Amino acid sequence: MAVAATAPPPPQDPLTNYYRAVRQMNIELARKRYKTEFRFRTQQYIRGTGTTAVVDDEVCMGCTHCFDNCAFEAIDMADRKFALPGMSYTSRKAVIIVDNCVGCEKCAIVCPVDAIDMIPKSGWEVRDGRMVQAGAPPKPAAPARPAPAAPKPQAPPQTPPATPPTSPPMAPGAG
Amino acid sequence: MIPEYGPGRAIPHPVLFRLLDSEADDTTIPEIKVEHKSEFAYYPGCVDYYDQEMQFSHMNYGDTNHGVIFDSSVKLLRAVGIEPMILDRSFMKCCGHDQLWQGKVDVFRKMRDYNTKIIKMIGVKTLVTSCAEGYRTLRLDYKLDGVRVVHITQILYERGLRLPPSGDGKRIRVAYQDPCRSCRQMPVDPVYEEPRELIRRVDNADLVELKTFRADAQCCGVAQMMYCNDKTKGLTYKRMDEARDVEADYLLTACPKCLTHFGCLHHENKWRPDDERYPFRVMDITQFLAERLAGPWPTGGNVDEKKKEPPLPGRRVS
Repeated sequence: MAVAATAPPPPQDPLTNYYRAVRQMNIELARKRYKTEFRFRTQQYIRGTGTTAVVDDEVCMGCTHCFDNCAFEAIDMADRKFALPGMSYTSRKAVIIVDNCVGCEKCAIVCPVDAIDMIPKSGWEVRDGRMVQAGAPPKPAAPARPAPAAPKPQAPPQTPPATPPTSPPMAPGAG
Repeated sequence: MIPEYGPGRAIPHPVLFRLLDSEADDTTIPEIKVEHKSEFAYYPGCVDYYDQEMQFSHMNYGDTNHGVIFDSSVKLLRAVGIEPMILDRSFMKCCGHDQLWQGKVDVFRKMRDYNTKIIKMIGVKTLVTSCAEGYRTLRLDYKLDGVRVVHITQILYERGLRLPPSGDGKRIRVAYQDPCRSCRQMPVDPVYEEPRELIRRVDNADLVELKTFRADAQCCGVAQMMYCNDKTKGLTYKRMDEARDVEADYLLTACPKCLTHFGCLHHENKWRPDDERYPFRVMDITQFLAERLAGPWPTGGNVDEKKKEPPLPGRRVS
């Protein structure tokens, strides 16, 4: 079988020139139409740093539209138990599997009650209950605390904490 | 995040969809310059866009090159005496197959009306396409009265493509995957026999049939770029396992979508070299035939000469 080891010589045939020019023009056209935003989003998808979906549990009514429409199996339906005084009930909610989510917004578009929002996958953190921009994405390799083998000079006498920090023991979303 | 599935997991289908859908909105007819007029027209389809996608996404590290389909088709058509004009992307739109089968019928109708107008305007008599989905869409879903739409294997068979004998006497085993759109989902004129006849004309090729073939052929897993998940990947595995079981050296197909997804799995498999599961090549049937002809080697014209080493596969966490 022949293998093109070197660059082919320039063709003399005008038709060959025509076909090559059309092909090159199409490549250029595709590059031009493949706009910066599309390219940027593609890179985001590849690197896993795009957007992801979040479900507002109070709004979600479990209609499974998003579950049916997700192309990447990034949505699961989970039965959640809710307890009220005097009664308890089960409600079906959508759950995003963030590892599979590519951020295509399809679920947010089909959601009839607008329970799904798109948020960036990284680059933010929660401080005081609000989403704020983080300085840098967390590096798992860098340990945040010093090594435990370091000797502590003149440690104060350990006293057991008398009262834990005030936090309500009820966690409504934990169930 | 540990890339459990390899780089093919991150196919950004929605990006491509939005790109192709956004074409449909602009229906103004541009100035059409065709340097070479002919009654035969070749419609390459969206291979350029797949080139762009594959280049940036996951698998075009030199293995799967959709631009080769263009070069090979032109070379084959010229070998049988047809010098077609190219319906290129500067005045044509996407054929709309994916939009139709995803349910975006309004987008498809816009594209169909635009393309029909253009095809009628420039006077095409025979429309050749190298894509199985394009063949079905242009044949059935468009109303192209007076224009004959053929798949490229049909017109090559009809014109009697002759392939020169190859030098080495090494026998190769070639399997052919029937694309769903041009075969079992084509109520009129399904393309079953022509590709097989063309493969039999390669003198050192033995045509082997997969476990399921012709009207019973199993799907490659993904049509119209709709899904990429464990089930579709399982179907692709199953289909490629059939080719491995018959010990094929080449797995040919006539559909760019089959080529994309077979190539994706092929590349993911190379990404795990311990698991040498598929020791065969996956390519389009036009490339397989055009490499047997004398003349310029089909490269697709998008090969970067400076790039010697392929980039490392896998998801790069930044």
